[in-house]
Amino acid sequence: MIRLRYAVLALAATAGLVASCLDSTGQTDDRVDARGPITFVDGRDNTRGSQIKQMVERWNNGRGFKEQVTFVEQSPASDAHRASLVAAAEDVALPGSRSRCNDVIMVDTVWTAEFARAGYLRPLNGAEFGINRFIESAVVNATVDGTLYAIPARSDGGLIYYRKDILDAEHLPPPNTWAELAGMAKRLGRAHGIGGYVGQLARYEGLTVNAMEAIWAAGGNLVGSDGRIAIDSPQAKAGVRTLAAGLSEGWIPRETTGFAEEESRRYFQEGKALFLRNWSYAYPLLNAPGSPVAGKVGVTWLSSPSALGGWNAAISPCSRHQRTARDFIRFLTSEDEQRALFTEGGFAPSVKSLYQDPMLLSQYPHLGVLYGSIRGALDRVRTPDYDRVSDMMQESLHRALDRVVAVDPTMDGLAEEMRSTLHSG
Amino acid sequence: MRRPQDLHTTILAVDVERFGDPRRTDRDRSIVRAGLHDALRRAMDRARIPWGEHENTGDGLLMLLSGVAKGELVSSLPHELAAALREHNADHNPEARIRLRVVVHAGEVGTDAEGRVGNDLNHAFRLLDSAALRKALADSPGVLAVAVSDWFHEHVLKHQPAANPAIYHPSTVRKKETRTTAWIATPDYPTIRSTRPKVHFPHLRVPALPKISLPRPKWEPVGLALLLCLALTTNVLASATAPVAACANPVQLNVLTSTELAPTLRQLALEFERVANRADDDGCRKARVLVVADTYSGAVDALGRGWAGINDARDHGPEPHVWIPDSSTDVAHVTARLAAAAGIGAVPQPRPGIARSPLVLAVPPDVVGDLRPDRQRFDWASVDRARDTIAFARPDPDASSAGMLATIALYRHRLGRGVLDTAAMSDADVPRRAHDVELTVPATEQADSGALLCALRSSPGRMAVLVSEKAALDYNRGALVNTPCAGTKPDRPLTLLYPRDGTPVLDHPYVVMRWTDRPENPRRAQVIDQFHGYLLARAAQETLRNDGFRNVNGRPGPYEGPVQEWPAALEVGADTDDEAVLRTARKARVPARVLFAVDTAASMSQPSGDGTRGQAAANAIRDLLPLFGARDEVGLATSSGVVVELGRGNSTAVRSTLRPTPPPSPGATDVYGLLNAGVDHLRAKSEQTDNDLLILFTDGATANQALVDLTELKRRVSAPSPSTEVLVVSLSTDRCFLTGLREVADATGGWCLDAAGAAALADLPSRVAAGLWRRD
Repeated sequence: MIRLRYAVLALAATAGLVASCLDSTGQTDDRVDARGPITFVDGRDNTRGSQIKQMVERWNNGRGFKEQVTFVEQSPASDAHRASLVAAAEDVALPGSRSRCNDVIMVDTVWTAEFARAGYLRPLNGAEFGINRFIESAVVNATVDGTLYAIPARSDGGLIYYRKDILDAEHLPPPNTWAELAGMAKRLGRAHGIGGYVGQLARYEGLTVNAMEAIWAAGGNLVGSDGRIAIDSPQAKAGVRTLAAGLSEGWIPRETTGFAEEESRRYFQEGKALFLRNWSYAYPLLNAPGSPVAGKVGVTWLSSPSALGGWNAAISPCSRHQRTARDFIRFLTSEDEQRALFTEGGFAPSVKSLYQDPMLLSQYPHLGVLYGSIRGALDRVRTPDYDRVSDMMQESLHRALDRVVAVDPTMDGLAEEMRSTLHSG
Repeated sequence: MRRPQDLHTTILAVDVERFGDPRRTDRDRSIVRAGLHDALRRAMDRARIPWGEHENTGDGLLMLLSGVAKGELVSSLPHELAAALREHNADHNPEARIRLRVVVHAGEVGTDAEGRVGNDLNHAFRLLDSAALRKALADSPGVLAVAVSDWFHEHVLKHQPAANPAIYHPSTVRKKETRTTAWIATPDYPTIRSTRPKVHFPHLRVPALPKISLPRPKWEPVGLALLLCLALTTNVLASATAPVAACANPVQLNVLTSTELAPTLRQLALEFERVANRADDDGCRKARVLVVADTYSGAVDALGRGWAGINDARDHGPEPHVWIPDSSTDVAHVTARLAAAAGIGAVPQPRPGIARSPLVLAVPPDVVGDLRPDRQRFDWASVDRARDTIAFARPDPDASSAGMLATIALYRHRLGRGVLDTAAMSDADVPRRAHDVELTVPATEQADSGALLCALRSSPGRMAVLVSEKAALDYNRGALVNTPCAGTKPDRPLTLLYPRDGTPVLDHPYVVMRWTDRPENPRRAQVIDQFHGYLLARAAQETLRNDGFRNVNGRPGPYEGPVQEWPAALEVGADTDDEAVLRTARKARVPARVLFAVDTAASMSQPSGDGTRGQAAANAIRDLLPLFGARDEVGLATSSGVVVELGRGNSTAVRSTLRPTPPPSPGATDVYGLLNAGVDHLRAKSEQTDNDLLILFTDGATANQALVDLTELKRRVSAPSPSTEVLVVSLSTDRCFLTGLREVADATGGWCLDAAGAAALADLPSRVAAGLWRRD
């Protein structure tokens, strides 16, 4: 009989149902309310002065030995970070395993759904974390199939950086839609002898981000409201066609098809483009002393959604001290810590109140625009097979961008490929 | 260029597979574009099809042909095109190779302001992008997959026996509401199913089966066999918890490998994922493979402590499940580390290697003559003979297994030892010979074979490098990945020399890492077996050969120029103390700063052995000078003061100053003053290292202990950081003790040698070398 129960549990676990099982039997699991030492797993701390380490030290100084947090850094390459977490989650779940549990883990917004459905994340009670404090779009990302699995810890959204000096001279307000942006890029770029618009169109994750933003701007989406693949809808095609047309008409320089974040940032920073799509990290760099465009840069976002970026904090089901784990997440997402991580480390906060903080707004004028972008941001793809979806999109779209007339058949082919290989049920 | 509307035209559209693959650099892509153009032109020439009106499509090409014999497009063109592509691929590294999807269709094509238009053009592009055509190419080990439209099949292909219509299989291509049929073939590997690379199950694990009791015992074996069959064919039991409706998350396989193998292995891992995903037709992903590259000592350090360092995941990547180092020496080294520290829960389980690559000496053609003057094959002794005329180099043993194996081979030759076990490596003469290896064939800091070869290219001359055969072949083909030399062929390809007395072979073992703190993950264990099987199977072995490795049987790939069939292998030996070799090599390459201080008091003219004490000192120094090379600093002081300043390459100056023996210094200070002055000179220079040495030759005649505060002298001379070691050679009986110089030398970590006779000086070079380059 006991055997059977284990078998049922194991089956449920792989089906991603472990969450609800444990919820209903939560009282019998004493790990949920236990305190004790835990590990905190995040990517390499590249901030100046190791701000994440300092945050952990502040916790350890306050909580002492009994609830010590050990900070375990992962590779700065996010695919290696992900591979490490997945392998650890697979192994720690094996019966008889004594391998280390990663109690509190930082999860990229693009893997959160996959991790949740695979059973690698413990469901959380939003009320315990004051979930209303956080930006809604980030909370939506951390909520999978109606259950909250993670707490937004660092948020990010797309921003359009523009040459304020040029637009001001032309008495133009920053663009509000893709069409306005394209019009200005085409006309002013040529008039001033610089590129119109640069983004991230190299064949990597950034291409998915840029393409999805263009598709959303045209009213399309990856999946329709009925949950079916809709990447071949006329709107989605129109969105990608805007990018392909930009390349063929020349207001998006050809080099952009080889650009990731840093290449595009440098191109704009060297004064070679009117508009740049990038994340919030670019702001201090573009305005740093010595930057050729310092003081000439404006920031805006369009009325259409941007792609949500950022990281969530979550708890592994293996954690034996989940009360401490929850307390620690509350600590690292507290207003004080979020403020310190933003001002010292450059991480955009996930807590709404900081975006209205007059002190911060006066020091960091792009904060208001960033807030608008993140609040309106959408998840790129919410599927457990995200990396595969993104991979297919990158391969097809990169090809489609070369020829306007190739866009339609390519998107048809992409949709066909997705339908035939994905379990979108 | 404007064409009349709706002209009936043959449409040929081609697309390069994975053109946008991130591993292709911009340079690779331009090579691919040019290569595609060349191959197509060559193929069309050979098939006698006139070059049509064409347009580049980014990762392919669209061609419109009117008035051509349509039959040629399917009968001779596919074969000529495959041949031309194979020619291109043989000359290029994987990132610049081409596999093509080809569509042949015919129909109406017109022109509008935006370019070519027409439903038939769209139809051709749909076929080109169809999943069926992509899959056909993905499944084929060849270079070509062709889709012919239904119209073309019906009106042309069917009536062309030369095109072998039977190899074309119908396939449904969906578009919007309608469906259409495309006829697909892989003409260079026409029978798709039988030649598709198989996943082998070399160590298939059969999961424990539930005990079943049947009423009649004789049926039990039958039932078990049936269940076994079920397990083998459906994997139901191996992945017992796989739900029926949704896919289980693919199992994560983390692979650690060398910088040299990583680019090829990343490509093979992607292919394996595809093949593994197809192995069951449930459409679920079986595995995700991450390949991480590390240096020799990076991997040995992290694995040798069981990946337990707090920063191991950060600095070395995720804990590996499979480790594919360059050689079995790496595995032995890690195993020895793990055995030395109790309680580390990691067990490397090596399986047969996946590729081989011997160590070679790569040299410019004009240097070959110096290395084998008798036109015989070259051997390790030739390196010593040519040391003054050729600049040799080897990779850093910390950076690559090739550097480690080169070190082992050179040490074995220099030490005259069959195996470098712990006893051999503790021999008193090891530091001297090890440093001499660094003078003859220096290790280039942090360089693996590829980096060393690339550096060599910017400093042409009489150079010779000990590197892996794979890297040398890459260099000659202009395919040194991950270096600035990638993409361009060198003006002068290097000649590969294989030592006739045997060369170490990199054997790339497949090592399964078992971690004792957790049970084996059965799903991953299966993937680990499959991946090994995949790497040993034909398709992967061919990829490895094309990338410059030899296959498991030692067969090299297709190269220009002579590559030896199979060189004599030098077995490294299981008893090799890799730890001692690595530590010796690290220490041996630290440059030394040595000041010789010769007491020139009048008493040094007194006889000693065949000559005077002064002559004995000069002879001893002359014997010591060969220890030092261009990176070491030497200098000379006498009782009169510093005669030759410390400096690089000053050996010659010291030697000539000692001939004739320096004259006595009248009214000179006592020997303690000489000692003080020598230490001051070593410390005066800013480039002081922790490898500073003062060697004092004296007869102790001017040592008057009453005139010196020995305690203060000892304190001053032995002041730490960086310390200056003092060696004293006493040329008169018992002076070490009587002068207190032994006490002073001991305080610095040095020694005092009573060497009244010449015999006592015989092993001085070994003793000095040990002081400078011994293992810690």
